[in-house]
Amino acid sequence: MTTGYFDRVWRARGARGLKNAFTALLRGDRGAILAAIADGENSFPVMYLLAPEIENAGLDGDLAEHVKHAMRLTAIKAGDSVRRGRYDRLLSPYGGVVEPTYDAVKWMIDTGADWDGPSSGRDSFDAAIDLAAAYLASRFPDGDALAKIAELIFRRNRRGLYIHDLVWGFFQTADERALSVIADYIKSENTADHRLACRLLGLDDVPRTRAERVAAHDEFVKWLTENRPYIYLTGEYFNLATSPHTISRDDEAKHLHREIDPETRAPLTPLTEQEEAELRVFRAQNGAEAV
Amino acid sequence: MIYINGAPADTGAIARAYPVAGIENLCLSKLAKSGYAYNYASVGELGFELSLRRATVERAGRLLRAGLNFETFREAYCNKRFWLRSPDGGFELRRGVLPAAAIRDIYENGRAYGTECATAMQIVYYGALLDTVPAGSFNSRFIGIRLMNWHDISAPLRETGMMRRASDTLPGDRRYFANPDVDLTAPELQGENVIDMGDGTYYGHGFGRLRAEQIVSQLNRARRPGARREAYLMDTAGRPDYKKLYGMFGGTARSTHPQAR
Repeated sequence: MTTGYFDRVWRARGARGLKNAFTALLRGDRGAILAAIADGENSFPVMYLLAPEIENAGLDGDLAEHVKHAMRLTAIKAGDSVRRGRYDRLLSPYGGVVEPTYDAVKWMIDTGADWDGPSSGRDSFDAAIDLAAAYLASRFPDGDALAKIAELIFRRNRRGLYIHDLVWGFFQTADERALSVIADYIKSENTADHRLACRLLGLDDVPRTRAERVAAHDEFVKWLTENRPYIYLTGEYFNLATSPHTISRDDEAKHLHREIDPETRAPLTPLTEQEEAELRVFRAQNGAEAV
Repeated sequence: MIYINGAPADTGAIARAYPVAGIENLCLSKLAKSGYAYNYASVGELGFELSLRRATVERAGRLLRAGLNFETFREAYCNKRFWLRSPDGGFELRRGVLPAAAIRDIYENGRAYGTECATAMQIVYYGALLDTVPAGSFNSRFIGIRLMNWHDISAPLRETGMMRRASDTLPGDRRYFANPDVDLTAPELQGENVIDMGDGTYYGHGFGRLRAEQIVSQLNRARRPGARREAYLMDTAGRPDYKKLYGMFGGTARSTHPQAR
């Protein structure tokens, strides 16, 4: 929980009060406003709400690095190329490629995931949260962040809000922790939760009773433990199918006991001649699929 | 190879009922030449599938001309006279509105709507059915339409949301161009749902009517820095369960094969 000055004002007086407080500070001592916007305790929602005022006052160059990255991501999701260009130049004055940092996307999720944005899921705030989640999952997966993103997926789903981009972002990783955290929701008493968890993990039968849910969870965790090195991302998401199977097991890799890259499905090291031969036998026995 | 009620079909005779270069004959030719055995209970059942496939291709072309806008779910919008926008960006049929009228409105007032590619595919299939069965039958089967990519598809069209490996791909099939290394900032370009138009082109909402290599090229431009994989056309197809639909609507269908009448 952040406790910066602006956050305290926002919680006490809402978005309008926050903007008024900013304007009041702006009229006073420049040192005070610079200190306030550079406060490490500011949350992403507060900085998102204040962005127009900060930019109009020409203070965007004084933002902390992680806040500049966050503002750039919101500009990208808002389709605002002018703002994006401005943050590109601030972050990379000599024109290099700008990539969001771990600190930036982690801060966005840590301090912003609990807020739905000013238009309940229809603005660049939520879209930027989804994007931050995708970066976190694909580039810097960490257990705490994955749990927080999963929590956000299920919370939005319970309220009928849009989750497809967030789910797509989350499943940019086949990290065992990501799958485990989704599996935990199979045990949820909430129907929307356990239905979605089963859907995301490709479990066709949704358990009905508590005992069935616990059993389904335990079975999935066992499957995951046994098959983790052979699991890959199928590339199936809600854009493709009603019940996408986001992950699957590579039976050939399992047969050879060879770990694969979950993104490319290729063995981590080239197969030996003996393994190649073994694979040909395996394929012949299992009737390699004819398309 | 086509079998009707267990016997090899006289495809030459069936083909004569359709325009020589029409979608029906294109499908018929592919089915007849296939190494896979396509079984139909009757000529009427086959004719229903051919008609629905032709209507699918035609409706895809009409949707392209209708001016339907491309929007992500967050920005999706619809004609409020016929539809309600749900919080997740889907469209729900307004109470008291006839499903056929609501679907027709999308084709007639396309610019009043904005959605993404998967929902557009749903709209194509609803439109095709509307051209194939009487509006009354359509209205009674689709009382609560919801349009939101492959989510909550009405039971008669549920199979369009399932991609399966197909022995042959045919005009009217839903296909998918996957873009596995899409830039993280553009999830809407993670892939493109398309309708096979039967002439080597594909209709994809937001892309238009293009050849496969053109779609691949456009998707490739949206890849992340350092991408290792190119976009590609998946070897699967999503298609309605034509036999199930014939069971539901066959008796009332407007344009099954003349021999079946």
